[in-house]
Formats: sequence, structure tokens, C-alpha cells
Amino acid sequence: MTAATHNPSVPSAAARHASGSSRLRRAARALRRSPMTLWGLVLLLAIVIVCFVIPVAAHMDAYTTDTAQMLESPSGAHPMGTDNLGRDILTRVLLGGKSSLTVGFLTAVISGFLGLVLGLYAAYYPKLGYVIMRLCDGVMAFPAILFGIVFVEVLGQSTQSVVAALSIVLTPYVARVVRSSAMSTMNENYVQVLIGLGAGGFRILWRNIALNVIASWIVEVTFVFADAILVEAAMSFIGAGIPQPTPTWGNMLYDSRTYIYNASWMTLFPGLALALTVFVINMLGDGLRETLDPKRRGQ
Amino acid sequence: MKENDTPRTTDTPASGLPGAARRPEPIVQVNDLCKDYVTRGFTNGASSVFHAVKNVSFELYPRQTYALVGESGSGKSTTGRMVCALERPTSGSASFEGRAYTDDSPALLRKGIRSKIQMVFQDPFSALNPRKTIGNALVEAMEIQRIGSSRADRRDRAVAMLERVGLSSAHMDRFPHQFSGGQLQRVTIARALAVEPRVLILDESVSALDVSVQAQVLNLLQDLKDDLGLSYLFITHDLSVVRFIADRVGVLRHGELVEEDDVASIFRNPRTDYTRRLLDSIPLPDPTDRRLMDGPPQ
Repeated sequence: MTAATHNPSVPSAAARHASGSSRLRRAARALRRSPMTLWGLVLLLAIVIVCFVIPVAAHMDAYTTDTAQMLESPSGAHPMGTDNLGRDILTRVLLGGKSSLTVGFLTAVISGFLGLVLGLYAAYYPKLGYVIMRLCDGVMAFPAILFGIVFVEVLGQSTQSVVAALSIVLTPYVARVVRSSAMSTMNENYVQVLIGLGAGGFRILWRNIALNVIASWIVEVTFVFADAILVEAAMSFIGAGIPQPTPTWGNMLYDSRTYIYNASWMTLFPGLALALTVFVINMLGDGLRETLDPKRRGQ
Repeated sequence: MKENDTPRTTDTPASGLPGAARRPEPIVQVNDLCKDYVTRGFTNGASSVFHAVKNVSFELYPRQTYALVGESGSGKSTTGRMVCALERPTSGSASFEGRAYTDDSPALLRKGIRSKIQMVFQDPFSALNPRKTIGNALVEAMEIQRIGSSRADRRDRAVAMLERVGLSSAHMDRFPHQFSGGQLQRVTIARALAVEPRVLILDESVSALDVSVQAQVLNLLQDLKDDLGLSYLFITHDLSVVRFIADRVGVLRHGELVEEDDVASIFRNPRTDYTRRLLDSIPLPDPTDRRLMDGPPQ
């Protein structure tokens, strides 16, 4: 395996808005005050680094089957044991994490972006907003998994179609949060002042209302991140997600189901990894919700 | 292109107000302004019409202060918002230096009237974006109106404007929640003046402030008016303030202008019952001097 294959880096969504050292200092102070945010951030970063760096750095192989060491229990050579085809489960959990996090991150970015745009314009133009919101209601009426299955059946099984399906299903949730948050801030007089000053819709939306929406948007996007990982796992579990042999936590759980009584580690480790990741992301989201609450600002 | 929609504006008003002949050129002229709000029923088609403003006409002359007074719900804020072109009148018009603008398209308004007429709201906390520094709010106002050549130039002008209203450059990078109400109202006045308007609409702008701060802001407004040659449309329910700041007074009741006169005449001999009651509702600072609540003095 060549060392040149590089994984996508994960840029911080907040970095774009942070300018100037005073803003960074304020962010650092807020993090110290909120252990949930701090730990969520640290653990999520740790998970990302472990899943993306270790398999490449250690030249781990998740694909070669070895009939000589099938279903071995955890040991020094294989800390999480091996599966029914003799593949190292630790390697597959890490690489499964890589695909899960990639799907979750891409979905969060795409539906976060679409949801922000749709939500802001839906709030600013009431008639357009009515149409957008009814469309969103329509999409939200489908269970995410059902929609995902149909979508993947049509477009073919691949990471891209899973991400596309999840983005479509999860965008309405972001749009709805952004719209309600934008509508409440639009009632403030400063929007009237801006109209009175002759500002156009673009400036009012993106350089004023957006500033007040971004906090609840970030929180919602982290929840979409966690949701996407869970739904992707469920889709992989029923065979509609990322196709074999690429390891994902969902299809590892699917493989393990036959061996659950004599090789429980096959179920245990991917399950734990999935639960831990979703827990950490939700913890980060909850922490951010508190940290970014405007009532706590300026303290 | 819209000139023909409002032929009324070129005429002199038919109301024949005293003083209109003395001062020939009003800066803002309001003609028969009406605003109806229609509430439509959800299930049946039935709708009810609420007449918020009915045939209001008045003139605002350069370097003068016109006070619109009335109780809450009398339509004074709606009138102010229509004069500021934040709301479209149902009928009637307002014109600035002889040109009617209330039916202009948003783009035309932006070019013509937005920099000329500015509004200052009652609640300064709500009138400033909580996530924007004071400096950025002022710079943004100038950016919108393309005043100043560069960002540095706009910041310099913003500092000058803040100093003009009694704040300092140290306040530039603070957020609204770090100010008191009185300071913030100075900021919103500075922002309104940053685009070099000719007319300022002050919608209950000092009503939310406590009395001593109110006096400071009123003094500031008087100074600014004299220095910059501004005209004020002063909207308030508080007649004690009116006596201090206004040149002419219009009394609104249920959307109608029931009385209009120079400030001295209004206070000396109010012609309508309603104005008399309003005058009686001014609290007296002397506790020994009482007035009966019921009925106007005969």
C-alpha cells in the first residue's frame, strides 16, 4: 500500500468565522466553561485521528481473508479478534469509522449548507418560504431509512448515493431550525433599520440575520452529523448502504449476526464504536447548544 | 416614471393651515395618508378592515420639529413608518422636496429617499444587531449608502460621529449588550446620522429612557438639529417632551389628525376636548398640585 493515499482533512466549521485573536480568546474561555463541549470536541478529534491516521500509518489491511485464523477471540495479535473470514476486526472497526465519519461529515456539510440557504430565504420571503416548508414537510414524512433505501436502489449502491440520500432526507430538519431562528431575529427592529438604510436582501440575510442564526445552525448540524452516522449504519445493516467489502459499522454488525453466540466480539466492537461516536457527537452538540446560547454571552 | 401616479403632490395642500403661506417650501409634505389593515377570516371569506391612519396631512419644514402625539394605537407610528417608506400607504402620499416617493419601487427608494430620511426607534437594543459591534454597525450604514472612500475612512467617520453624540472611539469595538439604554440610543442616532440624512423620524426615541437620560438625549437632538440643519418628525405620547422640542404639533386620535397648531398655541388653548385631556395627563412634578382625573377642566 502506498503512503501517498491521503484522507480528507476535517476543517472546522467555526474557523471561517473566527477572525482576530479576541474572538479566539473568547472561544477558548467559553470552552473552558463548558466541559461537555470541550470533551466532545477532544474525543471527536481523537476518534477522527484514530480512524483516519492509524490504518494508513500502520499499513493495516482490512480486506485479505485468512481461513487459518477465522473467528479468533481478542488476543495480542488481534486486540478485537477476527471475523468469520479471518480479517482483523480492529482494522475493520477503524476503517468502518472512516467511512461512517466521511458519510456523516459530508452529509452534515451538504445538508447544513442547503438547509442554511433554504431556511434563510424561506424566512425572508414568506411566500417562497411557504412552498419550501411544505416541500420539507413532504420529505420529512418519509422515514429516513425508507427514503434512503429507495434512493440507493435507484442510483446504485455507493458512498455517493448514500450521502446524497441522507442529505436530502436531513436537509429539511436544518432548514426548519434555521427558518424559525431567522424569523424570530427578523422581528427585531434592526432589520427595519437596514431596510430604512437601503440595504438589499442579500446584505440583510447573509451579513446580519445569518450572524444570529449561526449558533442554532451549528448545533443542528452536529445532530445531523450523528443522525447521518446512525442511519448510514442502519442502511448498511440491511444491505442498502455502502456496499461490501468496504467495512462499515453497519455491515460489520450485519455480518456478525450469525456468529453472535460464539463470536460476540464481532458484534461488540463495531457496536461500541458506533455508540461511542454518536454519543460523543451528541455531547458536542448539547455542549454547543449551551455555549452558544446568547443569554450566556458576554459573561 | 411614477410621477403621474401622484398628481396631488405638486398642489399646495387644501387644508389651509395657518403658517403654510409663511413658509413656502416644506421638506416633507404628507397628503391624505391612509393605511388600512385587512384581516381575512380563515374559513369564510369574511374580512374586516381596520383603518389605522385616515387622511392625515401635514407639512414638515426645514430645520423644524413636527411632533405627532397621540395615545397608543392612534396610528402615529404607522404614519412615521409610511413617511420613512418602511410601509406603503393604502392611499395618499408623502413627498420629499416636492417629489412624491411613497409609491416608488424599492430600488428607486434606495437611490432617492433612503439616505434622506432616517428613523430612530424606541428600543435601541432591538434596533442594533446583537452580534455586530457598534463600529461595524455604523460602517455598514455608510457602506450601504456608499459614503466614504474606504473602510478606514468609514471607520474614521464613524468615530467622529460617535464623538459627536457623546461617545468615544473606545466604544467602536463593543457589542450592544455592553451599553446602557441611553448610550445605545446615542449609537442609533449616530448610525442614522452617519448617512447624512435631512430628516430624522424619531419614533418614541426617548420614551424608553429614564428622565435624566431623556433630557440629555433631547439636548443632544436639539444641538444636532441646529448644527446639521436637520428636520425632525417627533413621534411621542409624552407631551412634556413635546413642549421642549417641538415647533408644531399634530394630535392624532384613532388615525385622524384632530388638531394641529404651533406648540405654544396647542399648550395655551387646545381647541379639542381630546387635546385638553392629553394635556391634563401630563404628570406634574409637584405633589401638592393635584388635578382631578375625571373630566376636562371647563
